[in-house]
Amino acid sequence: MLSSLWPFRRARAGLSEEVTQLVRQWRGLPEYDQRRPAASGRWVVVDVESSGLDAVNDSLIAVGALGVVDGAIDLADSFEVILRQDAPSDTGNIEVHGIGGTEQTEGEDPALALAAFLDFIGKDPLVAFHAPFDATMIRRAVDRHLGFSFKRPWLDVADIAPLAWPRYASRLTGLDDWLETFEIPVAFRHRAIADCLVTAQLLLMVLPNARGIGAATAGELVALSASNRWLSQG
Amino acid sequence: MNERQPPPLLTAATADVLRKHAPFDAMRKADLEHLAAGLKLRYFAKDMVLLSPDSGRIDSLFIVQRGAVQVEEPTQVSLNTLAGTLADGDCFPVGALIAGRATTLRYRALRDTFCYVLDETRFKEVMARSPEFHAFCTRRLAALLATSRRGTREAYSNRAADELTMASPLRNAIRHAPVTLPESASVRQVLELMKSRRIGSIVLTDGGGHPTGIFTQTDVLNRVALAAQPLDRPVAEVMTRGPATLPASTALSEAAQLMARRGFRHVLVTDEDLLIGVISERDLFGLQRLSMQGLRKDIGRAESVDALAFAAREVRELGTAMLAQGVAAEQLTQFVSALNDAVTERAIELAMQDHDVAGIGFCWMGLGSEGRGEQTLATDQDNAIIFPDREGEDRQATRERLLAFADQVNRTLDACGFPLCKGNIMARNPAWCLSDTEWHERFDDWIRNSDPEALLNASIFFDFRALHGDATLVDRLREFLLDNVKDRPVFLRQMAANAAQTRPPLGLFGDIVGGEGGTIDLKRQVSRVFVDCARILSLAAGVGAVSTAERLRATGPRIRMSDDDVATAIDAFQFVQMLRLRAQDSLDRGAGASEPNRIDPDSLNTLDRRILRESLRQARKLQNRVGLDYQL
Repeated sequence: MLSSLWPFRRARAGLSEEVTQLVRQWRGLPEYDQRRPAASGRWVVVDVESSGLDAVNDSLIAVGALGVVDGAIDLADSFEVILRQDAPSDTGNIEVHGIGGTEQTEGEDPALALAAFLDFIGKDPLVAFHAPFDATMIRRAVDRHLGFSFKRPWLDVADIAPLAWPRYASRLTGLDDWLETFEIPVAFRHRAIADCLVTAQLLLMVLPNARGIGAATAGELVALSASNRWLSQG
Repeated sequence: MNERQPPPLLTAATADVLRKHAPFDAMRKADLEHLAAGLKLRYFAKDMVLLSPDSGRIDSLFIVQRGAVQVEEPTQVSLNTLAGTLADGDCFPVGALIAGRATTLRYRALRDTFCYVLDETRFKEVMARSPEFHAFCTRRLAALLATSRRGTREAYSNRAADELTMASPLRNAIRHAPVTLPESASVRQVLELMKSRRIGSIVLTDGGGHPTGIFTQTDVLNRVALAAQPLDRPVAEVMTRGPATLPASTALSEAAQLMARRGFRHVLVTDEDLLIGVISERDLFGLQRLSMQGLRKDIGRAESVDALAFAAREVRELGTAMLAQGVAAEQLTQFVSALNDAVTERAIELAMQDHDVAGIGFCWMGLGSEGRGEQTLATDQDNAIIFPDREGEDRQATRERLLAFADQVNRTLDACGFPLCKGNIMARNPAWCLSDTEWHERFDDWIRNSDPEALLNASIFFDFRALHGDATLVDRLREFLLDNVKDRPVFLRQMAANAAQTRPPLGLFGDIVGGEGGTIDLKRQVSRVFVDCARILSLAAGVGAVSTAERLRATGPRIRMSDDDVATAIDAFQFVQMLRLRAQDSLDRGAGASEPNRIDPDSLNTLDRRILRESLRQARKLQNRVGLDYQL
């Protein structure tokens, strides 16, 4: 009841007017149309960099996002932000994503960074490869810095790709396997925005096949992804 | 969304992908990144049609990121009619985008393909700020031609895989590892090593193994034997210091030029400063006895018709070799013409040994393609004589003397591979062995009457050039022609109407339309259009140039043709000339056909077909321009 007046489950001290405004706007946006054809409209491919591979304990360092609109990647429809860290992650971790210590400690205020991220993604469905990791990292960060529970529909390309290309399903597991098979050129792996770009290219290849795997609409495609994960886990 | 910029990393990565291909590799970083920042990336599954005439007005540029796009002509279905295949980095459809029209072609993904898409607004911005990109998009023909020449070179070098041509690098001509001795070695040691290894030269090195000199068989004679030098002296005292050195990647032709120009007999070949061999003059001439200078000398020294005929045959062989090296058609035809001129000149000199005509002060003229310097490898004779009318001299008697002489020249040229002219346009024909007064009358008559025969003659005789003798006669004839033609718009209009009758074989949809058996006659249907139009435009502008390219270059600025338009028209003409040369060359190799200028467009590779089509379009454009000038 309170949430209809105030977007935050618990008020956070020190949230700026700008952040509050952005979050309010975002929460007021209408939900995406689940019945739209899968290949049309906007999908937002998301990738995160973190201080480690533990989605529960490691912290979110950077977020990249790239829009895929009506079956085309629009390079200008892209977003990248580094979240300010209290202390830089360790050297081994820095070598993975290449975001240096200074870049980390001089990053954007996390609350503003996440609010800007919300503003960029709108209420369009999100896409990632191995989405649960990205989803968890972002959910935890939003919870901590913005103080509400971030729940969005995620399309996991790692779930959908084996359905679209069953003959590769048993062989290909990681993102790199798929990129190699489809000869998708990789400029820099493990920079959020570069990973978004390659994941988005996989998405471009999936979308025309969506109907073939029983998902004519965007909503069905998202549902397929989630159910597939649930089934394979079970 | 337009003002939004992608993160620098994304822009830079995309620019890097593009930079692997022309024209992006030549663009300034800022311009390329401006282009990259505006791109979208689309995916097309195998067999999907990317664009077709049904797509309507083209409002974006496609750049193949990776994959393959087949270009098809929707009017035709057979596989032979493929217009081409586009690969990574190729842009399309540039022409339609600039013109803001629909494409005439259909673009289909041959396999899974990703394309960058640049919207029209950003495309125009990049065109406006990047001269390199602008040139690439507007001078497509030149860009395509460069690619085609590269292809010619490759096609020929594949055919002659183990046949060394003058375009091969020195590396390929090296026969054995270099034989070296320290320069402190005695002359005797050097001679013994030369004898035991049966080699003609030895490279001498300093303490560090760097070559400092060369000692050759010739030096034995001149500097040791004849100079009576003792054999125990160090070779350093008699060797040639600082021998010429070239990197292994140098073309044989370049090495040959250097040797001829500087008089070297040996050249050291190095690979990253390491000596890998020695090339001698003999090595080079063993590979290819033919060189331009050498041939010129052979021609000038030929003492008999047989010797001259032999040299003339070598001109053709060298022409073929140059064609294989991808030499541009304009240079190639100029070169063939220059050597053919030398053959003609020598034929005249030989005939003058038998005929006392030197005192007449005549001039031998080349006509038609010979006059324009545009001879291909299969050209028959077109020539004439002009002699001065002198007071107190009997014109007829002079003519008789010249005709006997000309007959011998014509027959010599026939023996040298320039067949006698079927239309008898030769100096031995009394009708074309005329005094200056007679020529002026003849020209005046053609210009006044402009009947079909006069127009035909004008198209041959107005392309005249002095080949031997008193060139002032020819200069005055040209002045006369230019003075008279400009006062006769009716004549030029008739010529223009005549030229308009040959239509380049282009269909309604910009496709090439073949005649019998799907073939087209490159000379009659294409070359002629350029030649005729250039003649008309230059005569009308009072320009005295004779070759088609020179005529267009000299006339263009006077008739407000842009430099780009002129250059493109010349490129197109030269491309057709090159196709003719290539077709004739394949005839020589036994393809066998009675019409050397006829080709089947479908036999061309896809790139050359595209260029031919563009060349036909250029021919039509030039023809339309002439048509407008004369309101045809």
